[in-house]
Amino acid sequence: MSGIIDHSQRMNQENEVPFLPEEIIFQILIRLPAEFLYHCGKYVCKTWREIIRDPRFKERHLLFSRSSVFIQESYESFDASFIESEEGEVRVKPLERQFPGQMLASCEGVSLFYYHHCLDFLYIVNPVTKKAIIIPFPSLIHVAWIGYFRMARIPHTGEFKVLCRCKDQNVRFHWLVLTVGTNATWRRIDTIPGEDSIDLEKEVCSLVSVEGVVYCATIGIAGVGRLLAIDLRDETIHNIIMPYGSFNGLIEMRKNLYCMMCTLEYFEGGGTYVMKELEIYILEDLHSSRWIKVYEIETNMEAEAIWFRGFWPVAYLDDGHMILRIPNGDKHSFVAYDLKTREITAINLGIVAPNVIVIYKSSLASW
Amino acid sequence: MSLSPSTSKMLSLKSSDGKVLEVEEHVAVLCETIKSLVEDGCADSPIPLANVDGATLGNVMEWCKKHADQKASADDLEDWDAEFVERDQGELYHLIMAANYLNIKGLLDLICQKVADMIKGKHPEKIREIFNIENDFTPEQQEQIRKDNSWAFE
Repeated sequence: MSGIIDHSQRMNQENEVPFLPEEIIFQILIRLPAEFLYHCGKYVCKTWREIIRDPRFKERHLLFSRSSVFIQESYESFDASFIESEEGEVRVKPLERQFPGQMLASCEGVSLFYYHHCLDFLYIVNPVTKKAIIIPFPSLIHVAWIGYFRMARIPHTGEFKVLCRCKDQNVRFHWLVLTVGTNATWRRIDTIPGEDSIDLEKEVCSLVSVEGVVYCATIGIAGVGRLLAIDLRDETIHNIIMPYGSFNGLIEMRKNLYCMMCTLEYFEGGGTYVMKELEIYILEDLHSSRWIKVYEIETNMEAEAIWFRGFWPVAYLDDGHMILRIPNGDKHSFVAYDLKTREITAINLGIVAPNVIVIYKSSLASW
Repeated sequence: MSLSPSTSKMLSLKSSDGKVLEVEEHVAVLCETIKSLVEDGCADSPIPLANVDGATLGNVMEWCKKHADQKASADDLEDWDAEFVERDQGELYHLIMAANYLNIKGLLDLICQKVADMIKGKHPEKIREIFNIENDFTPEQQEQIRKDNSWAFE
């Protein structure tokens, strides 16, 4: 019985939390969102501010910050939403913070923005810390360029790089890369056979940035699929052989590249092909094109429209939800697919034809 | 060395206030600190835990027992953990210190997350109150931090 008495005494005496060691404060703060740390946490006291300012803290914090999907109707409009997951539920939040222009790409909280005011500007911003730097326009840029930028953060060095696909006067395509920092300039990456004729505007494409490598999958007019790895760590390009099946998109999950392949079956009732089975593979090694199958999903197209109309994977939200985009005439709708329970939830965005889709994470990262 | 429940022997743990707790070895070794003592063969006599009081040690071992139970499903553990951290600040403080001292990563993660959820969205003033922290900024320094929050173009 004495234990119970001791227990209640302790409550009265020590209801206030005494001193916590710095290593524990570090462990607590690492679990809080970047916005909170930057706008609130660092005002608490000097110890907290020093922890939050520490580069090791910022690095570790990246592992805890969660992805969301930034969606905008077009590059001209300023209305935007985020698809986020909180406590296992997928929610849509309107853009609350003001973004300085239009977001083109983002990686680990550092984003590429485009702003047109008399002149065109490209700049790199961390929207949380509001640190910003203007970068030059690639000299080979052509009119319909705006969708083909990606950002990557190079593991080990922590450098941020911007990748751009653009066209020269001989209608050859090139990948240009720039390291974010002062006096940044664009460099051209050496092409590999046949690669410089791939026109991303004319082909269905999927561009995903994973751990310093941008993967670009294209399905040409003849239905021929090709997967390239633009390795921004050493600035080289590699061909990757896709797993067997009909290509259905790339997605980044927990710092790995996954490829979705499906089996199609002709559906008499609809007079069209429908998805019979979906397989998800993880890329084990980019140099040997080694894939390992991790999910096999039997589809039930009578129950769920996504198998009937097909979909594109958009993003993975860290808690097991995949965000999928479903074509619907000129419009698109979005659903959340729970990989664990295999439940499908419709997402009501209120945006008719979302054209800007960027995976966004808030962080304290800098360059 | 086998640590399966069927062959598990009992260990004696002695808290800072002199209480002795008998715990199955496969439960106690969830504490890395105790595990290394067992592996080094230094765990024969009651193991003295100078930084953990009896009540807290009881709570910690309750958590370890649940998490050593191989029959518990992930969902079950999640629900159980959510209930386990429903405690007042004083108790959470002692648990966090004990989890750190005994080096129990799972428990430390759980309580750090709980405390993080408690302070999320709170004003600095309120956080100082919760953590009993003194505001050691001068008004000038506070003004300077506020200025740092505006756009900084390089």
